[in-house]
Amino acid sequence: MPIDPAPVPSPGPAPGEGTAGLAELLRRASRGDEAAFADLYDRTSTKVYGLARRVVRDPAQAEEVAQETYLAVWRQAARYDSAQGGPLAWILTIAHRRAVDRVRSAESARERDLRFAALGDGSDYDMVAETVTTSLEAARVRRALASLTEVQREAVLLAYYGGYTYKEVSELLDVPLGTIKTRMRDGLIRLRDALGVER
Amino acid sequence: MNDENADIHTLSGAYALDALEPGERAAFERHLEACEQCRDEVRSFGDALSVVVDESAQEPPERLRDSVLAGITAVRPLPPVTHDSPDDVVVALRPVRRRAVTAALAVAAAVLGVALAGTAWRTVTLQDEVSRLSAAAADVTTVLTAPDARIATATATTGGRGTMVMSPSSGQVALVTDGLAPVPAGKTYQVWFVGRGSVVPAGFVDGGTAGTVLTGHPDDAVAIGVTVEPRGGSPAPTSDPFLTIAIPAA
Repeated sequence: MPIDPAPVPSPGPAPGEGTAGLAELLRRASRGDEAAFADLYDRTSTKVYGLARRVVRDPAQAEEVAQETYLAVWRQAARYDSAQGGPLAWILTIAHRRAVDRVRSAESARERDLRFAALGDGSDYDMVAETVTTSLEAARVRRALASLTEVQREAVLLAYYGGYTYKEVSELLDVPLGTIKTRMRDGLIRLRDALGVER
Repeated sequence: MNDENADIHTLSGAYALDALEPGERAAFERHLEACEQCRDEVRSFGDALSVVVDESAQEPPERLRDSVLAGITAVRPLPPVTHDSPDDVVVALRPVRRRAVTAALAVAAAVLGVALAGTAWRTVTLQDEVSRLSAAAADVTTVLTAPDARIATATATTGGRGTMVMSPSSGQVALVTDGLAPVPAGKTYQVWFVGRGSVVPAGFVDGGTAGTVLTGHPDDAVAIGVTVEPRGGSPAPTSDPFLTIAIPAA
C-alpha cells in the first residue's frame, strides 16, 4: 500500500494544459525541482507580469513585483492548498497583493487622485475591451465583464486594477460603504457565473 | 449579532479583490476559518479573477526569467505548514539554527544576485556572495535573522538596487544596497523614513555594496528613500530620492 507515491515522470503528453498540470509543477517545485519551477514560470509569467503591469503601471516596478512573487511562490509552494482555489489563482493572489501593497504604500494622495481620474467612468474597461479581440479567452472575459452592471464593474475594476480599498472606492464614488461592498460581491458572483467557474 | 455576521459575509468580494484594510483583512481571515460559505465564495472569486487576468496577459522581458530562476537557486523552499495562510505573501526569513548567519546572508545574496542578473548575470557561488556581503552586512545580521523579517527590493534610478529588511518584532529596519554608484566627492548618501507628511533622517549608506541598520522607525513610515546630501548629512532632504523602497504592509 503506497503511502506517498513519488511522482513518476511520464513519457507521455504533459498532464494537461490546465490547473492539474500547474498543481503538479507546484508540488515538484516544493521539493526543490528547479526545472519544474521553470516550467511553472513559463506557463504563468505572462499573467503574473501582465497583472502587475496593470496595477503598478511602471514596467520596472512590475518586474520587481513579478520577481518577488515568484520568490514567494518558490518558498511557499508546499503551502499551496488546492481546497482554497486553483494554483493559478493562488499565484495571482500573491502577485496581486504585492502589487496593491506597493501602489498603496508608495503613492501620494495626489497621485492616487490622478490615477483615479485616469481610471474613472469605466474608461479603463473600454480601453481594455478595445485591445482584446484576438484571444478567445480574452473575448470570454470581455463578455463576462459585460454581464456586470456598470456600477458593479466600476467597483470591481477600481479595486482589482486600481488598487483601491473598498473604503476609498466608497469615498471616490461618494456611495455608502455597504453599497460598495455589495457591488463588489454581487459583481464577482456575476463574473464567476458568467465565466462558468465551479462554485 | 446577526447583523454583524451578515455584514462580515458581504466582505467576501472586497476580500477577494484585496480591497480590505489590513485590520479588516485579518478579521475576515479569522472569519473565513469558521465560515465555509465565505471560503467557497472567496475560492470561486479567486478562480474567476484568475481567468479575468487573461485580458491583461503580457510577455515579460526575457531577463525576468533569468533573474527569477537565478534567484531561487540559493533559497530553500519552506516545508509544508498546516493551517498556514496561503495568502501570506511576505517572504519570511525563517529562524535557522547554527548556521543562522550564513543562511540569512544566503537569502540576501539571492536577492542581490537577482539584482545583478538584471544587467549581466554572472555565475557567482553562494560562498562568494556570502563573503562579499558579510563584511558589509555584519550589523544587519540581527535584522536578517529575525523570525518575522520581511524584505522588499527596488531599483535605484542611478543604477544598482536596494533591499530593505525589516523586523516588526524588533522594530528594526536594515538597508542592503548593491551596485550603487560611488558617492560623489563631498557628498553622502542619506537615508530617510518617509511617512504620511513627514520625512525623518534614518542614517547613511555607502556606494557599491553596503548594509546598514537604520536609526529610528516611525510608525507611520510607508517607505524609505535615499538622497544625495552634502557630506555630514542634512536635517531634511535637499534633493529627490534616487532610491525609494516601499515598506511592505503587515
